[in-house]
Amino acid sequence: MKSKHSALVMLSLVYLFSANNIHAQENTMDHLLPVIPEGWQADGESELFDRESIFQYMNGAGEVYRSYDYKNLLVQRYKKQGEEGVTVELFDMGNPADAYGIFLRNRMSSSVGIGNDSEYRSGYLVFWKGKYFASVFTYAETDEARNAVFTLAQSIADKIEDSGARPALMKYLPEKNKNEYSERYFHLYTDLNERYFLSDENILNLGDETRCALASYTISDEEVFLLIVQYPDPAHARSALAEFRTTYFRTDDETSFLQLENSLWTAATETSDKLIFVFDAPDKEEANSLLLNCVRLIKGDKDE
Amino acid sequence: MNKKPVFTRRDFLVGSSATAAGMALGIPNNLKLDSPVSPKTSRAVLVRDPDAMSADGKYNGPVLSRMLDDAVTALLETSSADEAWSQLLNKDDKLGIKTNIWRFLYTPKELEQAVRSRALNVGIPSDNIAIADRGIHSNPQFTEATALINMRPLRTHHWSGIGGCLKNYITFHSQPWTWHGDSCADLGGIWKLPVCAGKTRLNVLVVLRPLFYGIGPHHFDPEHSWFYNGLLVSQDPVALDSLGVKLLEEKRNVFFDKPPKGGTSAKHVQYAETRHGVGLADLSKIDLVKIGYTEDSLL
Repeated sequence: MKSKHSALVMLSLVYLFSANNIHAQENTMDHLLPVIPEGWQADGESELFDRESIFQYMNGAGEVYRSYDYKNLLVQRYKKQGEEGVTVELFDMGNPADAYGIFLRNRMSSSVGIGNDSEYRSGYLVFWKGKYFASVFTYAETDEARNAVFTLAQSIADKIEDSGARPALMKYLPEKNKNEYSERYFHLYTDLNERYFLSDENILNLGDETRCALASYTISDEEVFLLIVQYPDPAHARSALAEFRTTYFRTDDETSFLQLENSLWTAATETSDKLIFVFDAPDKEEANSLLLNCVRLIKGDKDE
Repeated sequence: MNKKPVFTRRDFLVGSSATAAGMALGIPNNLKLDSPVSPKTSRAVLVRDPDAMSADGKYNGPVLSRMLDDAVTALLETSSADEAWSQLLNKDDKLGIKTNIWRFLYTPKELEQAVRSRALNVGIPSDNIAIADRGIHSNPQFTEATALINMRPLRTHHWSGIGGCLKNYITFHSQPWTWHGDSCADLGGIWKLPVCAGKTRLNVLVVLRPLFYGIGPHHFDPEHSWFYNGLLVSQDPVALDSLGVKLLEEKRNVFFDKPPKGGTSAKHVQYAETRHGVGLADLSKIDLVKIGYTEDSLL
């Protein structure tokens, strides 16, 4: 009886310790800090910023991350004698789709093979893996600093266990004529405007609950945009389409195609909980073709 | 109930000077936003000197000091820089110089010291001159200042369209992010806060090496900035920001074969005039005086 009681106490203590440990990991991301390359050392303590305090670190730029499901940012600096230093920024974006989305924001070049996808440019290395987006950078790109950037980034990626997956919405973007590195994934109209300015107001009713996939295409030397918006349900999609027609097409009828003041074509259609838009097509036929190709992908047909 | 007019891309296509491919940063002046403006003009000066910066990005302090002196002299139409600064400041002032420390494009120290030097010349004691960017909402040297000089570099901004004179005062508020709503539409309202309202004697929009297109994780890429080697000065911050918007638009039109189709509209500049009455955004009402060299002026 006594030994059974002792065992229960022991089990309780083990449980409590484990629970506290898990809680500690939820409150800090330090376990993801990289192995430090030889010759380098941590420069000060790591800092953790949440959705409110991120502005203390990066001022208004914090809004970029808050437009996604951003949770926390871990910052750690590293130094070495004779070097400018390297900074690690590790963002918990809440879910893999949003980590992917923030990674795509400034995508311009090919992968450097870290995490799920990555990019390196002039001292900056960014990658995404699981629900995390990481930025590892130096302001003075020496060979030593560049090597440290890559080493630190790879170490962080190795520590992230869950790989996560691209949002399913992206596979509905047709490949034909698509511009390389033009894909974007986001939620808010302000992010749409960054790539293709539509309106100062939220005329598509975008928000935290909507998911957007955007890509640009070159068709007859014109940059054409395809936007897919997934709404919580078909009713929301229909309502958003009606508002778009009223506000942008300036009609209350079921117009799907309109040639705008610059002679380029805009098209819109709905399928279940999704709206599909084509902007700046050179002619109506190309707008329709791109629209239909996207609809086919959504319905499970092959990409043409 | 009157519905607020919705402003779309189609209004740009009709009303702006943007190319068919490109996207304007500013809202076209022909569009009516909120209430009409009062019929007056604002004076601004653009001064440029090719020796203001070296090719490797170093600032030439003496040249910048002279440029600033020339600009305020032209702005106030005085016979000398001493006279101009004496009109701007007096020895009893407590001066706050609001700068900007954004790592990639900060207010040059040389300019800060040029203003400080002029303030000392006017007779303001050293202890009554403060230079800062952050924390000014609780810094007595700013909260109790009788005079402010607003000075920062021009750049694009992913949230507000541009970072200019109007936005530079956001740190006068203890929670700057509360002004981010609707792409920072109401930044002009900050200028009416008691802590800074009516105190600004001079605005300097530093256009030595403006950023005209933001990209990358920190919104800065040196490839999208250029040596313009200028300073824009005025007592009207809205006028300077409106000129700044125009400058960045024109540079994008020149730089890109096909200017980007996206971009945050800097509507806070027009709203600063039409909602908040802080100054004039209408370019047709801004009297721009250009001094120094004028090659590739874009304005």
